[in-house]
Amino acid sequence: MAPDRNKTIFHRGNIILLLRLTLGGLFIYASLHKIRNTVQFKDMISKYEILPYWMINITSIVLPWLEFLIGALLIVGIFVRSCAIMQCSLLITFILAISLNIARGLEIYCGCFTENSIISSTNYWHIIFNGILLMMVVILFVLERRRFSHRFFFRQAGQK
Amino acid sequence: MASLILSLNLNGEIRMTTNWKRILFDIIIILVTGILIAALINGLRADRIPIIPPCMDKGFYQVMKMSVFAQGKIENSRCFIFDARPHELYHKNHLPNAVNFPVSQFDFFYHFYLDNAPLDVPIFIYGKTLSYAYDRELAYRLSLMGYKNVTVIL
Repeated sequence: MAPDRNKTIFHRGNIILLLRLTLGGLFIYASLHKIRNTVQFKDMISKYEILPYWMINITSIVLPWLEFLIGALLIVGIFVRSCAIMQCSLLITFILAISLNIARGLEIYCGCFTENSIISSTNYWHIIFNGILLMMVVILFVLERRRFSHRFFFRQAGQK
Repeated sequence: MASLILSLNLNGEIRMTTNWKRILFDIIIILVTGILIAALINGLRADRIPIIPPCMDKGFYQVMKMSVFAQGKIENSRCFIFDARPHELYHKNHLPNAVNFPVSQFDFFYHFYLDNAPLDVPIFIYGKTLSYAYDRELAYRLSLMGYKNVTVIL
């Protein structure tokens, strides 16, 4: 008797679910600190010296909520591929911004997570961490071909 | 219409196609929804951040190009020339006869330079970086203190 593929932990649907929950949860966690401390986030963006000053306020207002929304949609399983593309763009932007400031020799708090977080630093480890997230997002984009991912549990809905 | 499914072409090859138009449409929906939520929540907050910084409103001060300022004959004893940048940037280079007035230490330097100055004294301010409009911020704050003859040098 052929084994039930749905019970295999490495089934494509399970991998997609794991990626969605991990990436969505991380983005929501990262956005919460920025939503609570918008003024500090605005100052942090200014220190990067990348955006013109007229864009600082708009970015500090919109970016945290965009991250939160992308994370929530990924967890729920709506517009998965679109969220993956947006996450990819954000991660590439973060990697470039941190790399630019390392190249400039600036020692500033990266602002991605809480200031006391173990992964909040502008050294190469943070670029590597973002790179790993980027790979996960790309894998999710390749594996998930549907617009709405209905897989909330490790088994298909309706199955015992 | 292209669809997000496996398609069989005339040569018998199976190809995966992606509906990029649908993905773009979804991205636009997400962006618009995110912007609306952000604007709504920001408007409801007590510590809301203005979308357009008030210091960018040129109604509070005048603006002058550096070339025009350089051609003008300014009598130093009758005006103030402030470098609004932080201390370190001021010491790297600054205009002749300009004094440092960092915005971050506004209260201290305001009393140091302008405690007994008349409100109509000409004040020229310069100093900005890509992300910080120190000059406009200082000009805005001085205009709120009652100084009407404030000019930002671009």
